[in-house]
Amino acid sequence: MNFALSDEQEFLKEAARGALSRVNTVAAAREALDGGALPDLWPIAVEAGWPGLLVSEANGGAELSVLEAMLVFEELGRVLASVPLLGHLPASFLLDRAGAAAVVASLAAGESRAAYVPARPPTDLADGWTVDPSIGLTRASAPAFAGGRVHGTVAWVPDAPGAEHLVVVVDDGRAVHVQGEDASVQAATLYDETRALGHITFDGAPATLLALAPGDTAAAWYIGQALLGAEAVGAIDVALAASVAYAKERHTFGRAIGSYQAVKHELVEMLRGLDNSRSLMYYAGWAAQDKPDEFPLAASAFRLAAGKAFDHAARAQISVHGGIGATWEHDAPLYFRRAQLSRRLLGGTAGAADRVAGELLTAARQAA
Amino acid sequence: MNRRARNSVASSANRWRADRFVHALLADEARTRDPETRHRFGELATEFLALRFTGYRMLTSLQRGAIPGAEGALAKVTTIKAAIAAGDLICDVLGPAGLSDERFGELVSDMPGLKSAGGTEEILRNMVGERVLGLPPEPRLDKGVPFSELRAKEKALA
Repeated sequence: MNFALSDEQEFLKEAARGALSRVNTVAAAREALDGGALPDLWPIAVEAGWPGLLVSEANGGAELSVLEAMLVFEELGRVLASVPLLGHLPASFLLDRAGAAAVVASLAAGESRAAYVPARPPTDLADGWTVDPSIGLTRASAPAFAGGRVHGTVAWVPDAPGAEHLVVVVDDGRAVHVQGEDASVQAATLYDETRALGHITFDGAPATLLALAPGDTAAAWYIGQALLGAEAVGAIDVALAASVAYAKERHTFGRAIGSYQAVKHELVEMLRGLDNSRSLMYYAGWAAQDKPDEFPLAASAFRLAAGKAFDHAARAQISVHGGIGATWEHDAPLYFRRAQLSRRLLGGTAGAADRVAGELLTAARQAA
Repeated sequence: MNRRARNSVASSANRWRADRFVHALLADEARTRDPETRHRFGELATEFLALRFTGYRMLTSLQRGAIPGAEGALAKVTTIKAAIAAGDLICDVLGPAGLSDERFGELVSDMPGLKSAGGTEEILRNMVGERVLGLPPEPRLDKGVPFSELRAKEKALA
């Protein structure tokens, strides 16, 4: 076990940061509030090879691991970049595992885009595969597949609008491939413009069953959890740096506000959340590669820690900045919105906490 | 620097594991289905996991010849926070019997003191804020004043 990044991984991060610096994505996020169109970052993603990150080399991808995908997401999260990879990466992972070579090659090259239509794997208390409902927290059953067709609805699907391919996890845990045009996708971007979401209805859409190994569709769910966590880590890092810089520069009663313990301790709490999340990011990356049995626990713990830490950091950033932090002049509210929406997606951080408990309880029951 | 904090990380990586507490929860199987109990356990177990992998990260950085900095102090803060949450949860699940249990009763009773041992949480947060984040210190009245004159100065100010 080596819990530090390799030179290649550091380089991947630097390259991602460099590529994203060509567009001022945070300014674009602010303009989007007033109806401005977000820049199309897909060409940058294609040039960097991100669409094929999790696709095998034989199918034209980079065949990198979940850790590398997380490193890219950390960079995306830093600048609130709106790149539809949260849907694309788990979808391309599943199609690649199923050996759908022709489709996957086009996905890896970025010629077309796929979205993963998620279903949460069964827990120690609930048997079925479930999806997020459009309102409320009571989970609905995943779409059903029979006779080559899919029926059902799934809400809050990341990057669904405009995806040419949909990889749908159905109620028995298998996955099917549906053409985007055969499903009805209603854009659901409301609170955070930088996060594309859609509500999908399948009304007998023709579907092809994917030949996957047991565990693949569950792995896709946890990849989604890990990517959301990584995105939060990047955002916390930026919020912390901005808050620390401001706390050193802004003076009240004759001294920098960062010298007051009330402010200092809050900033240290941001760092603690960041550090704990980063440690769990390594855990998730290591488990995905070398300890697949622990990946559900690791990815869920990471998602929970990072989601909570981002929530705290986004709030702390606003309060440390005082009045200015609460205005649209500042970036803080943009990060706050990202934090509030993202921690409620894909089963939410509360779902991740329950999964951590469930995984540990299951292991203990089996050992007893 | 921070030797105590570092030692606590090294030992906590192994000693404070969530599996240590999960068996106690199974004493009341029905409670393991209770959403609130599960949520609290999921959150504190996550902190223990973070601690374990923070320990591994520190070991990797030591192996590479780096000197661990004040950030080790944060692991102590997390350890105490999670251990308090664990003792509290287990005693909520076991009821008053939990407090009489040798392991968990002691855990609950020791933690408030341990929160200060090896540097109070407030001191550790000051240290990390100043040395890791580079924030300015609070003004100090005793800086550069010989001990013999300090008392007189304090009295004069009071």
